Amino acid sequence: MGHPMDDILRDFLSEANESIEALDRALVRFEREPEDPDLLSEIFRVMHTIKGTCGFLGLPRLAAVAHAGENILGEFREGGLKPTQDSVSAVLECVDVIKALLAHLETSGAEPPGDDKPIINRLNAIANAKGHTEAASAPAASTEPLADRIGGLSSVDCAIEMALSAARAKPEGIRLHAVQEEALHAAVRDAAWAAVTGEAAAALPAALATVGISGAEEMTLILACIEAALADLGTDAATLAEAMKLIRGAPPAAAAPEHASLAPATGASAVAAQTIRVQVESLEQLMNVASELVLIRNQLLQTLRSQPESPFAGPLQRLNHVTTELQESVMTTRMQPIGAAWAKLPRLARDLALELGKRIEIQMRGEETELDRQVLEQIKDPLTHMIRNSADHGLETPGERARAGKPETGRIHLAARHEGSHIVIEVGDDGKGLAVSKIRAKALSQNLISPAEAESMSDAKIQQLIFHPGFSTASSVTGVSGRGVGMDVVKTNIEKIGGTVELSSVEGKGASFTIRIPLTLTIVSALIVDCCGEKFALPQSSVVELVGVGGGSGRAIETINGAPVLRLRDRLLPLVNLQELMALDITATTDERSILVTRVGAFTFGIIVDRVYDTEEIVVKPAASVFRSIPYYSGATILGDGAVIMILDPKGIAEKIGSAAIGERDDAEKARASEPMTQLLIVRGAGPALKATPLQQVSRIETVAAASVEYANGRPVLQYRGRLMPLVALDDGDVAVEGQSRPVLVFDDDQRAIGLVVEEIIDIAESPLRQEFKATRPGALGSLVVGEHVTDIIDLAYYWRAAAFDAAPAAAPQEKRKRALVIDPSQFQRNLVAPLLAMAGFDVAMADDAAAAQALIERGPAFDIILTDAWIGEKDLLQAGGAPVIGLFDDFRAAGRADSFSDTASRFDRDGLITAIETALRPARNAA
Amino acid sequence: MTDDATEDMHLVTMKVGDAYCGVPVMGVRDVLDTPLIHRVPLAPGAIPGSINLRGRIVTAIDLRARLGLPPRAPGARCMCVTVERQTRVPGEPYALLVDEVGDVLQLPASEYEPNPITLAPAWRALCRGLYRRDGALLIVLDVEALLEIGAEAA
Repeated sequence: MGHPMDDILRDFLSEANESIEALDRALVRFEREPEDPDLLSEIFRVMHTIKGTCGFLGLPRLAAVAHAGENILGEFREGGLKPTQDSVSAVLECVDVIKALLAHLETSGAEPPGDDKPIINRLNAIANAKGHTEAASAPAASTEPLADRIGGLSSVDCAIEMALSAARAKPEGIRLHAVQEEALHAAVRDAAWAAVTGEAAAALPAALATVGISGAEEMTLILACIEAALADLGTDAATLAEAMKLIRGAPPAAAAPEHASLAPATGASAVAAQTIRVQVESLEQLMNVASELVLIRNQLLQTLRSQPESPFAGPLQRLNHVTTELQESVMTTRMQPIGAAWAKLPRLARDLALELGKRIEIQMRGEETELDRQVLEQIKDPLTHMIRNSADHGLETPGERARAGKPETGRIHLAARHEGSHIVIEVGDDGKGLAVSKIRAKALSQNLISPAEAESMSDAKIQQLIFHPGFSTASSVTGVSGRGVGMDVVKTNIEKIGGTVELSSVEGKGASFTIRIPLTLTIVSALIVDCCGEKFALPQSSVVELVGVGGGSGRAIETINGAPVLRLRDRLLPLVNLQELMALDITATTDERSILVTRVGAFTFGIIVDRVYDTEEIVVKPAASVFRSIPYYSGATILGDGAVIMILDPKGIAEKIGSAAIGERDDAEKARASEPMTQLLIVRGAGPALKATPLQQVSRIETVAAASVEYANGRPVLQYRGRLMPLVALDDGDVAVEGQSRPVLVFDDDQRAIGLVVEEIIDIAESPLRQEFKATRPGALGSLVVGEHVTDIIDLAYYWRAAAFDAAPAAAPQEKRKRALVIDPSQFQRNLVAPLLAMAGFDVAMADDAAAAQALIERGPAFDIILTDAWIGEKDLLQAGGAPVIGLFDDFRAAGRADSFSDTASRFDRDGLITAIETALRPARNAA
Repeated sequence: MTDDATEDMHLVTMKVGDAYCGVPVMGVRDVLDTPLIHRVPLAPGAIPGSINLRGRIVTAIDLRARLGLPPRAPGARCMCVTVERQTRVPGEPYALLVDEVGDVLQLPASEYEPNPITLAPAWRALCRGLYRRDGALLIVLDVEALLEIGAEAA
């Protein structure tokens, strides 16, 4: 087909062609049996549908013809008009014109220019049955000025409004969307008015150019639409021709071919032949059969593996390929652009705007993004709901918007894109956003939260309440929304298909929802895992990484406060044991386990299983309804060997272990995004005070029995990984108490290690590492508030000294000790870094700003390396004396400044810092 | 659905422990002999697992457990009739696990009796009525009620 035709139009055409054919037959029957009311209703309905759809699609010519036809059918139905052969013929003729127009629409993608006055007048004449025709108004034509005959400025304004909305709806009118609606309207209206009043001819192109539209295509389109709109408003032919001539400013060129193009369509419609509409159930059936074929194929391939010499090997391989191809084709037939789910939304927005007295513009991006039909069906309702909510609760009235300094027209935007095997849909508006105080008050009054909770909940958390069943923020129930069945249903529906909804809102600026859903629900790639002899499938999309523990892997599962954790690249990963979760009997004989590192939203955790087999393309079948109460399953599947296994739902499992943590953690992160968070290990020593140390500085946590503590030179030591590790007790407590085991924090720099014996490990908490109270006793760098408790930060340097390393370092530096300078405005931060450097064999000097540092550098001796707070920067240290300068960051956020340094490192990443220092010093060493 | 009181009923008869019961034949899709049941962890008590029936996943329901009868001896032969759910999730397949599946009987409406009030409440919810046959009572099971498992929590 020569013209790109959008899908709505295509659907409309195949549907209209079908109904028109039915209409033909029905009318003929109707003529013979005029008394059959059902038949007449049916005919009326079909005509009405065509008219309605044409109006919606911006096909004014078709709409006008169908409207006239509908009128006459209406008269039949009301009994005002007796069907005669003449009148039925007129209706049939009307159907013929519609057919011809449809045929043209099909080949060119647009309505032919021209009008259908003859048939419309004839139909109207019959409908009125009073002989009242257009002729009556004709004589007045030339006497009045054109502007009055046309109905004055208001008529022109109205016509332009109609014309532009029709034009925007057409495929070639797409560029019109780029222009502000009001601006375009004003420009076109003024130009048309100027032309009609004779002030300026041919002003339209110039007017269009001022709003940035210069294409001839748009020009023609707008003209055609204006003409159609004027005709619809009842302008008679002569006046219309005169007006259009003036507006066009040039002799009409399209007059000649219009009749030729209206030749009755012959033969069956091309579109009707090219696409067949298939019942959704047949498609589903096809998909099911294909899925079962996939299962059988898997089964056969499994058998083949055990008999590689089988004569069936060749044919089976072909079967394999054909099945894959079939499966993919069937999948493709089920794929639809998301635009199909959005198609009704502009109309919805328009109606809502009228109903609510608001101005709403809807913007769409990524309409072509494809997803599975089944998924598409499932998100239609939630999307509609969200648009309603945005229009009703989100966007303000034009007056309010003007006062808030926003454009009067509110904007709702929809965007879709693919992200891996997911589709991400954003629905947002530039309205007033979620009013946290209002939600809080409302939730309180509805007893959704207690007053105490209302006090303590973060804003982000409060906003999440809109997903709570029964919650509604609208102060009054409107016809549009406010009945309190809303976002919770949206959320449930989206989660039902394995999706997630995230909300972000800035009060006064608007709200935005991000929906993430899988592309297809039927065939997914999954990891098959084994736990205690039971197999499970876990969708691969949610698995980030596989980690082996126990056995010879060198990694082990640790426990903090009874909860299993895994230290993975300096992060502490919470774990869930599938064996416990599923209440399975332990069968494993070794401690070898696999951990599936799984991500749900922003929450990452590990699932402990006995072993991981393989990845398999599994056909997802819904879990039986009797299993709905088990939150850990998202479905079931059949494996190649015929076994039925359950598909694990990472979200359900995450909720189990993280409970409320998922939402809260995100909120906390967002709320305190400005402050870098540090993971702190909270412990207790001999004293009552809580102590903390950045988790990243801790190499390992061991439990040491008193019996294994030995004494060398009267100092407690532990044989640890082939060497002696001195032990010191936190708060100068006892290192070993007869018959007891104590947790030991191991600080290790590869050359030497100390073990810090604590009484108890309390927790791991995230907190910004900033000093709130000055240190009051030795061994503490200072105190801060973690959770609700004042917590001392452990002064590692103090304990290194206490372990008396100076006496016996494993690898005593032969060369002169290097000098390092630490520049940091915070004493607290300096004290964190200094022990690390001391451990690495540096003499450390410290300065709190660039000037002090400069003084130290000038005084000498020269420093080998300078570490500075990234915000001081190298520029201020021009006299660094040639020493490499390393920038210290709290986290990656400052990475933009990385260019000004030899290297950068995080303050809390001990290994990273040491590596950065070594790297920085290496070239210097080579040069020497 | 046939009206229990006025029409003859065709029942597939089954033995579950001491009980003699039946389900309407029209609802029965398959009869299987000692199927391989794949266990589903955490499943409600009366559900031993799922069955792969020619590529369809069928949830097994042990009628002994469902009716509160003592469990079958391990490894004992069992049979099942598969039925489809009508409400909630129409078409969802289930397999009713019984000791033995018997004949299909046509039972005259005149012999139909409603549940006696002496029937234990737990049974009353699962039975639609009964027939007297040769001195034995044939209980007509309410399939939909049998499948109402785990719904309380959902």
